Amino acid sequence: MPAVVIRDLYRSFGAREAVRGISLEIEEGEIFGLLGPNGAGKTTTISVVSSRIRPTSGEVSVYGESVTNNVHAARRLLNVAPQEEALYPSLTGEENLYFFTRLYGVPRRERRRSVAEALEMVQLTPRKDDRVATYSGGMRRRLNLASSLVTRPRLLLLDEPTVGVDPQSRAHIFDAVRHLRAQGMTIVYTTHYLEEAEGLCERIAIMDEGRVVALGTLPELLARSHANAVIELKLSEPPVNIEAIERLDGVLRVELAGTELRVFTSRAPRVLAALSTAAPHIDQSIVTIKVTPISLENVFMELTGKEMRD
Amino acid sequence: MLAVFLKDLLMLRRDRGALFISIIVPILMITTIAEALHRNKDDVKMRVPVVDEDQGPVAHTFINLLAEHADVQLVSRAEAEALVRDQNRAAAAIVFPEHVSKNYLQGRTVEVLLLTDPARNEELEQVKVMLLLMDNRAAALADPLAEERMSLREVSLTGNRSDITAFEQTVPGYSLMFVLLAAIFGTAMAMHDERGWGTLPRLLIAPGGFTWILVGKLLVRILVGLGQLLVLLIFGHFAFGISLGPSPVALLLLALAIVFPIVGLGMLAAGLAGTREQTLPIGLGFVLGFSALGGFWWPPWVTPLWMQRISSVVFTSWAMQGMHDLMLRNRGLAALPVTTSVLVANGLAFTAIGLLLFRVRYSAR
Repeated sequence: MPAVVIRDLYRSFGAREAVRGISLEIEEGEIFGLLGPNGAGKTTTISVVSSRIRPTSGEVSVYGESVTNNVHAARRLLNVAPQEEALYPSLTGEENLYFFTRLYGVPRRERRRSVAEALEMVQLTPRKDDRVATYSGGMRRRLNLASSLVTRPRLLLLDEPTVGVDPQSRAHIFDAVRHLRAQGMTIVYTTHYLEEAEGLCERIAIMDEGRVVALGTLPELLARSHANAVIELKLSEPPVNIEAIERLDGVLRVELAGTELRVFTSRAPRVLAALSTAAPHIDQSIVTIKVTPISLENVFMELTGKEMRD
Repeated sequence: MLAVFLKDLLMLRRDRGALFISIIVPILMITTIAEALHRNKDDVKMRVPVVDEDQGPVAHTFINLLAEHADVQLVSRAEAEALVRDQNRAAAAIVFPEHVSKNYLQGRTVEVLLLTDPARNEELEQVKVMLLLMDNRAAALADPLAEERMSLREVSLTGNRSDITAFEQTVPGYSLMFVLLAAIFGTAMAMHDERGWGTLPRLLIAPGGFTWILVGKLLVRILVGLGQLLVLLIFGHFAFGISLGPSPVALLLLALAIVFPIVGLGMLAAGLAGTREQTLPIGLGFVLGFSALGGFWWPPWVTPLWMQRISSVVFTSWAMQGMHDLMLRNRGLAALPVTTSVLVANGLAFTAIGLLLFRVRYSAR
């Protein structure tokens, strides 16, 4: 049984359509990435799956339990680490976690172990007796994650868990996510950091303007681009004949931004060799040259026509 | 400095609800207090049940003279006793026994019976002043040189206490006001604090259901309010000698029944307030309004009739009545059923409406 089934989900806020007809299935035990720029509809989708907000139309179920018709049953199966910290600053880290175990009905005999494991997983055991108000921003984000996994949900929704987090805390969060995956937990991970989606997620849905524009494993998504490499040239002056470069055999697309030229290609060596023929004098104007394999960011740009940071 | 000034001004403008309420609530409170204390009270006459067992000319004259100062209601002895003792609708009833006219006209001193509720001490004193005025006028009418020939025999209908002090009138009222203050603000702000901490979305999707989570928060406030009220009353007992009544169990139950609608009112304030800032004027309006109407600061009979009518139905009046029943009238558990039922009903209504408003504002939409 899929962990999450979303069928034709729409969600509007007044006149603004935040989610426009999403359909997808998330398998049990996978780390599923929801990737998209800010405002793509990721948090709204997460909020509907978590039952925090109701869909305008469409169906969402978690392990077969509808989040609209059987909300309490669905809620017992999931937990969410919201984008904003959700902690009690005057309680200690450990007290916060105990509160969430009680709130979610974790049996009394399991609470101690569950809290200890969660603290260990986010590497906050040494600070467990300190009040949260004394924690650094990164530590609070880690505790925020711990407070969602301490209830041992079958489905964990992580909404941009690394935004504003220092590199050390980010590494701790990645470790924790991988550890949870190894334990069989299903994780939905929203992010606008491409490298996180590439490094963590088994399948990724790329969202833009409320729609899923692509869905698949990383190789599948990369394969959607017919290019396999990008030649990036920094020039001292703009090349005069872009059309000639576009006509070269193996060139799929050319982008020019100022003096930066990007050539998407399926045959990088041949295109490199042919560049000077197609664009005379380009050799003299090259400042730097870089050939990189096609990335998720390139795919995202191909699909949406915009940069992730837009 | 200018940057901060302009930024704060902009933020204030964004929360227009808070601005509006912070103006409307003081206007309402000033109007209420001014009406209560300074409005011409010619139309306000104290209700005084009178039993005319004499049916003679002197009793008739007495009653007519009394009517100049009081809202006289001619009733039977049984009705008079019920009004004072059971219904709490009068501080005293005057009984003109048989043969008052005959004795008075024969130049003998007559005895008038005053059936009293000593718990309403200040009103009782007013009734006695009225009787004195009445006697003076009657004496002047009959014989300008004559002295007053009326004696008064007081019979308490609501207990044997006649040593009620001013502390026993004021300490419960002010204790309730401070519990109102702490519980309403504590409850309303605790609800909005969850938003500030970011924990509200987590509570909203917790499996137990949002309503029960809110009820859990309210129970803490009830416990705190109960403790605060009991401590204040016990302090009043030792510091000022106020009575705590004959039954500690009755006191505990009554305190619980009083705190419940107060916390419910806090929930209502939280539901009405769109922001944490709005809880301040709304909460303050509730505290001052219900204190004024409940007779925490002054006895209801000094207020205009319209205000007395409102006072008679607000829960704070019932709370004061319950306190007086226990402390001043020495009633025990038997006095509680009606009062606590009214208080609990108010508590349920406030809590339900407050929860509904809060849920509508914040739960899954």
